[in-house]
Amino acid sequence: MTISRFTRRDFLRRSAIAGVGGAALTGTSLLTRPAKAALEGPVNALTWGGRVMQDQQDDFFKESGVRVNFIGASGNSENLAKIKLGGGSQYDIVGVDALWVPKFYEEGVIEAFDMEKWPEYNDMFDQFKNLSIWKVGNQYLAQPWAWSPLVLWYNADKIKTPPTSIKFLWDPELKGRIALTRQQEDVIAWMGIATGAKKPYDMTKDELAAAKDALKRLMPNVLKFPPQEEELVKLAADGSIWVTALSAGGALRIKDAGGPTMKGFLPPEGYIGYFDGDCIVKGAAHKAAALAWMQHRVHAKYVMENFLKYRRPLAYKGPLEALKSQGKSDYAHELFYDQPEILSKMAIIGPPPDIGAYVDAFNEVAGN
Amino acid sequence: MSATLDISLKPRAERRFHVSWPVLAFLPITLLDLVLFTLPMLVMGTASVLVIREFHVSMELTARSYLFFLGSPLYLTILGKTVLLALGVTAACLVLAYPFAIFLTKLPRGIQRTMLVLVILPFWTSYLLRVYAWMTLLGESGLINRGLVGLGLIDEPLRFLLYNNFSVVLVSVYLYLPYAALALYTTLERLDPSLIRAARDLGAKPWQVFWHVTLPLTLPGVFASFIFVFIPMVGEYVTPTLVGGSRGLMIVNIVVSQVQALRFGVASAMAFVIVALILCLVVVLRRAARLERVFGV
Repeated sequence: MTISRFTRRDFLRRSAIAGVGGAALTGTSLLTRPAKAALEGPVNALTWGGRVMQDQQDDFFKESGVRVNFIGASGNSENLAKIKLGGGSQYDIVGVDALWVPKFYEEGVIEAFDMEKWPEYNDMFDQFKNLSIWKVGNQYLAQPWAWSPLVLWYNADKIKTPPTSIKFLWDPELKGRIALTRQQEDVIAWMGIATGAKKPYDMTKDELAAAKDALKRLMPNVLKFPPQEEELVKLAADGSIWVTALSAGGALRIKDAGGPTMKGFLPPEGYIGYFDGDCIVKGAAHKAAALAWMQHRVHAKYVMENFLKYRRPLAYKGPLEALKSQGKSDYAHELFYDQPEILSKMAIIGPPPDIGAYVDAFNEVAGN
Repeated sequence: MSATLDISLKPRAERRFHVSWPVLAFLPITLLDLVLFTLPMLVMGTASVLVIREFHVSMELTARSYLFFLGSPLYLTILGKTVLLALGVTAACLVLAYPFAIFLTKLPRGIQRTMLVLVILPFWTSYLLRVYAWMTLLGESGLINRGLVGLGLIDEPLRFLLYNNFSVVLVSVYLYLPYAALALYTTLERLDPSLIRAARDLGAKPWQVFWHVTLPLTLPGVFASFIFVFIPMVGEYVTPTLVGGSRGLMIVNIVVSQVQALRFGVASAMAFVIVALILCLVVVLRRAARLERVFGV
């Protein structure tokens, strides 16, 4: 075996070669670096799932040189607590549900921004452009993203007669066949709708008592209140439940999971629904990059991709034409994408003024 | 000059090493404890006695959060139900683990080791996976129901197997049984067999031997099992959430719901009452059973 002697001169020579090579590589990488390198990142986005898609992130990086770090959000109150503690130094964007946005603003953790000059602004449904609760003067508190009514999906094999009223939930035939997510205020809001409350998320004491009583009567029919929507899909897919409340693409998700044919029902008495958006955290360290990302992600191409993947309507009408040209108009209609007027009909999910009263009402029934 | 310096420094350095080594050894765990346990407990303790309105904290001391919890028949009932459920699971684990541990000690050493590996085998898989596995077994279209329907023993799937307190107890017993078995085995294995032989020689019947000799001498193991099962059961969240039914609320679910209701003070107070309850229990049991004997400390 020959052991080659490695002298100081060799070391210096090889170091020099390595240095030149390194410099060359650096130069190459500089050449391939994105054009808009002035933006400072990364963008830290504490937001809901189904927002940040990998190809979008890659494209944005190519364009701007900025990475987007997606941090999964678990709930509005948790998000608010996290932003209060972490602030703009840790987070640039926060995903917030409709009625929580004004609350975040009142708490001083988000700031308004100008959206009207953005290229995709005109692509937004008018319902979102004119959303007074999200506006401060001409500026917006959140960039709208997804929306959907919560549809009561029922197993068409088991429930032969299509329901005509929300009252069908109390049918004794449905014993142990209903599941709703464990969002106490949403469950109570559904009960409020059934008992005729005017504002399901802001009920009077009497309305709340009636809603609680309705839930008590509903309990024999409720199998469980799982915390995640995914479990509802699983329960419906394996036939354990016949009725559940899920957003627009619920039936498709259940079908994908190997489940039965589910039909949707929007009760004439009313229904709840959501829309959400992303906000700029006050004092965000990478605000410029965050705003650039928010503009980037609403290009019609990405919105369409997102709609097809997550199957719930979005706040931008751009992809509708493309869907029509691809012969997917029915699909878009089935998922309410071409029916933004529904937005004004649904009781928007949000924190009731006295959220504790809603939680107590739920616990009093489910805890006994 | 340098040699003189070396000589004068050496003993000091050695002395320092001897003094600091135990401190260094305990430093990581102490830091971990401080950051992940003591500090959050302090924050929670403070939050439980301050006036907190949503996200606004005022430095005013109050017992309101404790009064809200302790004055609520509903939440006290749920705490009571949680304790009862935890007691039920603990009792079931003890009843199943005790004979198993005795059986284990009777086996030859080699087989004992194999059996012990089998006891801890479930820990090699994720806790969640094990719960989901039970859901696959007990569900309406699960293995048990399919089997029973396939054999013609039932026409319709049994629906009481999942999503109720029965399934919570069943799955919890499965999850915590190894802890109870290991604690009991450790005590039984250290039991002097000559004491049992002596009792038999003196005419005691098997049940008398068990009642008057084996059980009293293995009480530390019983209490250790109790602690290993009861304490995590009181704080169980995942199992009741996954396999429990619509009425399967346990006290931790209530704590979570208080956080969602932005009642941080009440949630903290509830958590503290649970901690206090468990601490009292541990102190009482420690005194009653001299738990340190289980591990021969």
